[in-house]
Amino acid sequence: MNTTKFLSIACLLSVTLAACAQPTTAPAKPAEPAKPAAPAAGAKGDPYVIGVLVDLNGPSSALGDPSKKTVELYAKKINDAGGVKGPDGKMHDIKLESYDGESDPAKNTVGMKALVDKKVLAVIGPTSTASALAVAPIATESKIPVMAVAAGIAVPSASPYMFQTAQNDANGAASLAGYFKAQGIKKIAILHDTTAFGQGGRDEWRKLKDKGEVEITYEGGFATTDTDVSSQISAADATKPQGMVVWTTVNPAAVVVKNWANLGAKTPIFFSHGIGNPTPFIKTTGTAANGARLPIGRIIVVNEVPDGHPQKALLTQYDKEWRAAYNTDPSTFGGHAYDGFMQVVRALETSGPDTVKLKETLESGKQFVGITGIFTYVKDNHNGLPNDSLVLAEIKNEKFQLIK
Amino acid sequence: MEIFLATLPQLIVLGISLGAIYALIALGFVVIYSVSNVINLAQGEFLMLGALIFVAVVDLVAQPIGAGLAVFLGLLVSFIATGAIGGLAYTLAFRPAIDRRASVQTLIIISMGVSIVLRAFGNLMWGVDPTSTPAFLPGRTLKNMGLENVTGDSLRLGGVIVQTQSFWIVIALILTVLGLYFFFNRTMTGRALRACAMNPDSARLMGVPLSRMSLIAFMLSAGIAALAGAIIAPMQPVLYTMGLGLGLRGFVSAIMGGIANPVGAIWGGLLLGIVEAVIGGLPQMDVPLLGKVNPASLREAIAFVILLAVLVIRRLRGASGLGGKRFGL
Amino acid sequence: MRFRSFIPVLVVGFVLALVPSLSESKQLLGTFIFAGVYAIAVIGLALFSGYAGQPSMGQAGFCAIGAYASAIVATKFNLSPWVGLLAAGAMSGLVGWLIGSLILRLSGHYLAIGTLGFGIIVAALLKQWEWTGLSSGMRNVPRFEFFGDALKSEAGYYYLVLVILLLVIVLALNLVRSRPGRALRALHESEIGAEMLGVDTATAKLRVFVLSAVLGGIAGSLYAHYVGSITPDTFEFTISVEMLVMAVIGGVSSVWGAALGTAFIWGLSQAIKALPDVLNSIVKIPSITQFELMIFGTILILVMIFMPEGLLPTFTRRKRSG
Repeated sequence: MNTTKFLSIACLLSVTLAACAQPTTAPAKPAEPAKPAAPAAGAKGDPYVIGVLVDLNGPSSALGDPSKKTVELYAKKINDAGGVKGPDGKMHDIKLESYDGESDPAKNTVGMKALVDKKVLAVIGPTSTASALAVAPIATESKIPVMAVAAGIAVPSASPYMFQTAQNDANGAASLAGYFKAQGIKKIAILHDTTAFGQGGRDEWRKLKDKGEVEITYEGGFATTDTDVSSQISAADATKPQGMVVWTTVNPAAVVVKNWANLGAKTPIFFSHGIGNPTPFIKTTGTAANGARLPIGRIIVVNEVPDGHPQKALLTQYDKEWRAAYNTDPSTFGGHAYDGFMQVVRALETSGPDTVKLKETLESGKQFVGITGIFTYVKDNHNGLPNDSLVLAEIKNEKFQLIK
Repeated sequence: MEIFLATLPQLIVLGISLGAIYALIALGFVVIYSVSNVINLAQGEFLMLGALIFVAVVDLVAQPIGAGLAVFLGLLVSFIATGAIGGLAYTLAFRPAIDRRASVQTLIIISMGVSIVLRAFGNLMWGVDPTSTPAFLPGRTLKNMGLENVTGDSLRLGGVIVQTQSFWIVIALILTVLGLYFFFNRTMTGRALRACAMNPDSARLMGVPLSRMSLIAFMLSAGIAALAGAIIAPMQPVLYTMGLGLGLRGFVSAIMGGIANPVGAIWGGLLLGIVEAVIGGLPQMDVPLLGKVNPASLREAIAFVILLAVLVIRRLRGASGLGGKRFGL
Repeated sequence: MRFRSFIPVLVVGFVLALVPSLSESKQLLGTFIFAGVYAIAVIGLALFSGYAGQPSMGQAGFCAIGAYASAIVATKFNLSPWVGLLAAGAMSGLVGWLIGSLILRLSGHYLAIGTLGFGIIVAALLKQWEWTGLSSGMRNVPRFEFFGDALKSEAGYYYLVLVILLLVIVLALNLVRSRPGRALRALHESEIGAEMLGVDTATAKLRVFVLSAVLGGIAGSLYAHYVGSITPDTFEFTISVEMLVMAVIGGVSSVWGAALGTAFIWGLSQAIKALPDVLNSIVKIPSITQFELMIFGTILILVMIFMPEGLLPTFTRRKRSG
């Protein structure tokens, strides 16, 4: 009886094993059947393989989905134009390898290993800070650059191979604090979610309080799964602050702002830059969010960015191409992925398929005008974004408008 | 602390509104469990589908037929469509397992499988972004009707503010309870269902088709969950992940009430809602080891501590759950 | 314990020991390591759920306590990770004893809510604990030291997890076949019957609950030292539910079933992700990333319909009858 038990286990394991095992070398055959005539740039080289490790299911999928769509859109565009010109003078197609991390750090860890197996040159993702930290040791060990779209402050220093393409809590708080100073807002209430992002924001405001820039009249948390935050808003409103700062992402922010409007709260409301996809936010909140102010990436207010601004041309182009491909409004989350992917593509032109050289090229201090902002990665700064990559916007008549 | 006491009436009103939603979700658990002994963890996913279908219908028809009629049509379509999905889930996933005499634990795992599939379906159909609808009775309409004390979509009644949507929730809860009472006590099918709930074996002996009764229970529960989903659609971001948190709260409320006891489920839901709302308004406190913590940040944990304390104390006194009666409405 | 029952453990151990030399795939080895770590916690859950007939929906809470205890010992006190592993087991066992003495008074579904609540409470408290990095959690948790860097490679860690897993299996089998084990099974059949046979059911239940907690803690510790960073979200209640799925799908009344169920769930989820690669070498198919979870859920349902007792009991019974 025991032997039969063992046999069945062995059978199952070998099935699993066979299913999991993959060729450890990437197939060299061309990935697409029909290709437009490539420009006369010489022979075709092996494709450059880039991994996409994002969460397509679970709580971070709202960020992961536009990331993947953006990378797919631009990989296709590059391939249609003939590919990337490598240092060997040959043209190389981009081949994408995707893995859904399902908002679970363990799955992201296995996913990173799967991408290492497929000999990717760089990885776009992970989506969440916890997952980015979990894959960091693998990035170090396998020497593969990881372009995380996660916002946590700890992300860029987690591995020498880890880069960050999103603004972190410090960027967001500094941007809003500058506005408060100009407006004479001193007494604020802080509402934050209990994720790393929300708590990081609260800590930034505590630092600003210690510096004497603001006074905090109320501080309260809520879970991102909470169905109602009215209790906290009532309590915060009762302390009579000049502004209610809510540090969270889109879905909880929609709950908060609806509760805020329904309670008829007196205090003006401010959000973090976590609301990176305004269209669903407005669709969810309706008129409730009118009057809310927040720091935001320029892609959201692309039409109001002045013509002379260095990002203007790129923003307009991305906006147009995203709309043409997916028929929805673009989000800052897609922008983060664009910045990671295009920086890798640009660096590949110099480094070729050598991941160590790729990392060195990425951090060589060369400026990159992106969707999120103007990046300058150097060895000690893998975030590389200045505070002015965010602008202040106000929601008026169910639209995000730049505050000038 | 004075601030907390001043806001307390407001918090309790909020809690009742929240609790009514949880109670509505909990009723779905109770109906299925009573008839077929299945703890259906996919109940939250039925709610999610109900909400998404409701929003889709309202978005589609609000322009041509007007907002009021659109809400009515949305509720109807959502109830029927989700009920059908519930029936499908029973027929394809649960019934074959029940026929093979699957254990209670196996059936729980099947309901997990069903919720994974339904969540993936919601993601595929409606994407990862949230959506919502306007309140059934928007504040604007009330203002046009000449009401003075309106803020947002809420009414100011004395010292407290009540969302108009909360009235619909309470109305839906009352109607559902009345409907279930009528159905279970006054119709043949309902009486047969009750017979199944009370004694499946003798019900079978008396010729009550158990699987058809279970099918009806699943459809009814899915419909009730859809109703709950549709009514909170104006208050919540509606998307494929919303079932997880709400389903959990409904599950907890149902079990608190004794899983087979509808009245208990309603008490369970209200208790959970009020506890959550009141904790959210508490002032900052010193917690050992954690230091200064706002209880609002620990809302889930504190709610569970209170619920567990209630259960353990009641257990020590010899009672179980919040009400002792099994399926007597 | 008779020597005969060691044989399957040795054979399984031998076969699994070959895995690192069979393939160079990091994904494969990573999947096996996670499956092994999970299996330890799931065996703990199965001992409690299966043998005592009571569901547990809070096993991830004990994993969290183990992982944090281990990470604190290693990063805050700079002690050897081995001390961390011991601390993980001790700490989760202690908490298991405290919690168990309280919530084991509940029965049936109330106990399920009790364990579920415990898991949620642990995760919520950890999110507020400043010392362990709030929701950002802890990082730079080192690997175990053993003959220099022997355990720092993937294969080295795989062998460590394998050895601990096999030890846990032997221990669990031993318990199951011992006198207290039989008492526990009696508990599953009928609590009153067991009482009448003179079994102190309350103590027996508490003991197995503590053991289940200790195994959860050890799994948490192994997770922390493997991944190197932990957050409260890593041990959410959804993970507890996932572990319950693993225990039940394998066949909830057996130690081997728990291990098999864990391997099955991890293997299935990775196999579905690898499916397009395998198929694409034969025919070109479009991306199925969006359908992965739907396929996963459907297979889960089908397995439970056609093997309602779980994988292992079904296999062994068919073998016997056929």
